[in-house]
Amino acid sequence: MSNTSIAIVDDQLLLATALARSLGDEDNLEIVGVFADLDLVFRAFDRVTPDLLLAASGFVRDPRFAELTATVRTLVLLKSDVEDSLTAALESKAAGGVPWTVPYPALVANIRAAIRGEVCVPRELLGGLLGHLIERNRQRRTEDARLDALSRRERETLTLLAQGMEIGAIADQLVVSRQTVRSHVRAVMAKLEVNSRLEVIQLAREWEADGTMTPGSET
Amino acid sequence: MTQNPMHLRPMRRSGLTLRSTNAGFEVIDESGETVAALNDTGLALWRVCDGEATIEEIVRAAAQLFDAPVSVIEADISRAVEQFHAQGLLEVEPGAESS
Repeated sequence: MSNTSIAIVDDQLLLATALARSLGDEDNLEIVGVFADLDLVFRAFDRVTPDLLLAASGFVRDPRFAELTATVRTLVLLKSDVEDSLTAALESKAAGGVPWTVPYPALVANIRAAIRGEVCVPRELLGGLLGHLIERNRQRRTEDARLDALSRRERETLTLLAQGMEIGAIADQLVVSRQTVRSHVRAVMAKLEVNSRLEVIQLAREWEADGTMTPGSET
Repeated sequence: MTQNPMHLRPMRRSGLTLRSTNAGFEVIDESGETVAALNDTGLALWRVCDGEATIEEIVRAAAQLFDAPVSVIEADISRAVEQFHAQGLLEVEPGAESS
């Protein structure tokens, strides 16, 4: 049976290295890299992508995490905010999570399950996670309804604002006057019930990060 | 008008308590009688039956959780809710259409 290649990304390098040594002694598991951050992971993946990535839960809120899980099957090592982190990981299509505190054999069993394609969710967290996901989905529906209230032009303006563009640049991009863009921004603020352009930008960036609003999307 | 079963909001029957056993969990009624035995998944489902979440919401969340098709999860959860109801674990609030 061929070896399964595994990489680990964890800012606690000492622990990650110790884990890598132990896993390297397991049958059919081969550690191909230990990284301290996602930049290093993506750089390494330009050359070779492992079969499985073990990622510390601190990375699940990184905007690039979903890109990571689309590239490699990823199992999250849950170190803190276990339910929140696991919910975010599953929403990003990770292979699940395993609490950092489980006995080592249980960790290895979860790794092998993830390699087999199973979704790893600690059973004692199932109820809490279901409740968490239901609540998150409700919030997202509310956000969708707010976005639906925007016209196509208002939504384009919102997207460009979130990208950091100034009024003038947005006007050039949309081929409209600055006055028109200001009018769109005022309408967006009113419909989203926020009081400043900064709040609009912050909201739009949050929605982009959690997938509610995709860059450049239109109603 | 017939209500869409996916819009029902199953609610745990009041007065029931939970006891941990070697095999999983038991739901106990006011007189101390065992109403039903639940495994981890059954317990997770019963816990989210709070009278607010619709079956549709539960199905959607479970499909995300288990990365499984909604059609498969929908059948499983509908069956489980029916079984909960038959076991006396639930009351289903009538007329509770989701918005």
